[in-house]
Amino acid sequence: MGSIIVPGRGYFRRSTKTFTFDGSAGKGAVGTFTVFTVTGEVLVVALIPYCSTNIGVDAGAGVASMQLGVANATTLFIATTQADTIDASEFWVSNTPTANGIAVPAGLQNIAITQDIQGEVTSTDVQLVNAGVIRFDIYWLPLSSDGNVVAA
Amino acid sequence: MELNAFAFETLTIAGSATTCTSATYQPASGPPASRAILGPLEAGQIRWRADGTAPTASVGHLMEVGDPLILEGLVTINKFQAIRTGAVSGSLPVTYER
Repeated sequence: MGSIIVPGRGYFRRSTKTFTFDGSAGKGAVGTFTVFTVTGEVLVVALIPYCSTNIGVDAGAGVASMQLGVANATTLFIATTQADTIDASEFWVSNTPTANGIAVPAGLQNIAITQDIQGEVTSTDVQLVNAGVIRFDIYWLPLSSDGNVVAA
Repeated sequence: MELNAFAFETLTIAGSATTCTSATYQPASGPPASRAILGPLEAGQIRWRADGTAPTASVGHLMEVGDPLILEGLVTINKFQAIRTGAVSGSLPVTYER
């Protein structure tokens, strides 16, 4: 006789997204890029971006920066960070990326959201982000019955 | 009766419903699988069903990254289907026992 066993997953849910920047629209060009699609209301227990390949910028004029938040509040999680200071093996959890280990800042813990998790590339002129890889790991819980977080 | 692992595969759960591979869990020689150990799921969230109907991105049991699942019985294994919920495909390792 058949049966199905669903072992407990533990308390928190986890989603992950490995994001590669190449300078195209939504992937490093000036403007927003979506990391996770959010449905309903969810509690972000912890959100931790980790850079595995140096973030690179093109030769355009100006200085490119990145920030992380949600739609309509794109610095909710991480303030504007000069893009080329985010290097491999660093946690991008503040505007001063840190290697080795760091206490997760309060701004990346226990945040209730209703919008997609987005980053935004900004520039003092036209320079954009055209290289680099960041893995975004999120532990979350649903608040509304339809609450969900899916890698974009 | 003690079960023994005899086959393994990694299913890529993409945008259309995916099943376990029949030739893997039901080989030409020897008895078929009586249990499948699935997961932990990697990369992307999926939905699954085991009632013979294909899941969709919005209907089916949610399986999060890191979740395991155990199917017992050949009929249940045969009816298992999964599909991703978003743009990222899931990677689901499966070990078959008999």
